[in-house]
Amino acid sequence: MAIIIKNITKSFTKNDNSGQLAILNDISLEISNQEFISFVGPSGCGKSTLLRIIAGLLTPESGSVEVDGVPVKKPESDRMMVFQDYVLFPWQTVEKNIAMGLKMAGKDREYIDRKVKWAIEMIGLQGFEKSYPHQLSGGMKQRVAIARALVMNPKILLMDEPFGALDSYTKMKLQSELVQLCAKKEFTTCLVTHDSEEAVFLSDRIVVFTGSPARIQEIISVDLPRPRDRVSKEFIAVRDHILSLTTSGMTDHI
Amino acid sequence: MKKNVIQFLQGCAGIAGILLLWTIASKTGIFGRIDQKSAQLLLPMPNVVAGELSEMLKSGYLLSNIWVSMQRVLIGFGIAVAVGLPLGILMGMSTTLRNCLYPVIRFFSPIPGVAWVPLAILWFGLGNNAAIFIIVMGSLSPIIVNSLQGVLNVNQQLYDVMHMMEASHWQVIVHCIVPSIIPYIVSGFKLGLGFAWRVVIAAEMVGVPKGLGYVLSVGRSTANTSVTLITIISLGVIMMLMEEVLFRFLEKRTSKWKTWE
Ligand SMILES: Nc1ncnc2c1ncn2[C@@H]1O[C@H](COP(=O)(O)OP(=O)(O)OP(=O)(O)O)[C@@H](O)[C@H]1O
Ligand SMILES: [Mg+2]
Repeated sequence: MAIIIKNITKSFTKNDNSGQLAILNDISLEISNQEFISFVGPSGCGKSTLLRIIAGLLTPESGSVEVDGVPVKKPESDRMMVFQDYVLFPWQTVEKNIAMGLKMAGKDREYIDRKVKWAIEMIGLQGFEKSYPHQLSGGMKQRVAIARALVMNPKILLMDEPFGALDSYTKMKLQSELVQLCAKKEFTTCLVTHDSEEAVFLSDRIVVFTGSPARIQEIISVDLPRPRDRVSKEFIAVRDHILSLTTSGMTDHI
Repeated sequence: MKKNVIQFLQGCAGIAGILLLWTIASKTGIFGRIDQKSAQLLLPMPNVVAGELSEMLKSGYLLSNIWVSMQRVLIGFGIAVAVGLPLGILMGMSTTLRNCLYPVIRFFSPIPGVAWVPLAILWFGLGNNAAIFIIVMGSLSPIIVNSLQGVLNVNQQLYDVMHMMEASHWQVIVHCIVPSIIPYIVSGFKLGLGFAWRVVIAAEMVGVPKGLGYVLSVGRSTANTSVTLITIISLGVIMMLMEEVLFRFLEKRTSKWKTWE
């Protein structure tokens, strides 16, 4: 589905109640159907906030988000979000965690079982169906979180630094799996990341934000063929460009 | 396995130590503070008390009174749970309700349950109802406060997940809030049940007839120290059994839930 973000403004009350802190300032962006778009920018600039607004978990002060022309008012199960810290239900097994959304939606048992089986195979966690989250590694938990989102057949997948806490080997493995999933062209993806290599590896376009309040600094299209070669000259050129944007100004303070 | 055995033996050593101390105190007239004769009366030897205990068990006097207290505790505590748990959960979910009720609960919770005894006796007379009322008053607030605290500590992001799955209010309660707060409920129940026992003993001591506290006060007024000691021991045993059987089980099952954060 296409997402149109129109003039979004959002601020939060400051901790000491001394007034409003502007987070997002007049953000507009059009994301086309089945596009993979990444948000990068300084920590605390409002990327997660923007993602939560797209999910419908937060309402902006002004502006709107439209999905295929329909304004977003509340969360809906065809827009699923994957959180940085997994947020699994600790008292449920892997398969129950994955089945949760389908159960909420009142799907029948047979459908749920089939979907869960498919998802477990997809994320390669056969044999861990009955494990609890605390028995899994970080990478395995993140797979469960991704599977939980995907069984809902989302039209939009929102991911907030999903691989941020993982070691680089697991991270690269999951990134490659994500590329394959996205190649099936079933959903539009918005990814928040701090990792410019990850952004270049995965995205059609990369939106670079500047901090407080967040504005769009630059939008970079990545036209490299997939699967992308992380060490090719073109790849590194794009990555370095993003790095230079996100670190510009840093050296001034050192 | 071996560790457990050692731990068990060490526990037994502790108990043996207490019995030894007791025997010496009894023999020496509480270390010379009173003469031998009255020591036999005021602190009888463990074997004398044990003899008395078997008498009381045989006659059914002890067990029937324990049962009376237990019934009061179970009914009173049951009412406190039935009221306190839903109230605590609702207060956790609704800021308005929380703001309205929290000051009231904060006001009442430090008041010891025993303080309600005179009123309870005036309102309900000397009987079960008075005891039950006092137990409810004594155990309600830890149950409310703990379940409220549990709801306030539910991982906010779990709500986001639930909302994204378009869960109904009811589904959020059943699948998210209740399982999240079980560890808190367990500690609330533990506190509440402890208060309930304390309060029922006190109420029975000052006038509510029958029950363990009543036995205790009869023991005192007839200067039968063995009976008093037996009551104290019974109370200890009851509390320990409750801990071991009920709460150890629940805590074991839910302890890992807290470690996920
Ligand atoms: N519920 C809230 N109440 C008040 N302030 C908030 C709230 N949520 C976020 N903020 C503030 O909004 C700003 C942006 O937060 P956000 O989480 O969107 O940043 P981010 O770009 O995702 O940062 P990071 O890359 O570190 O995750 C921060 O300054 C944060 O303190
Ligand atoms: Mg963030």
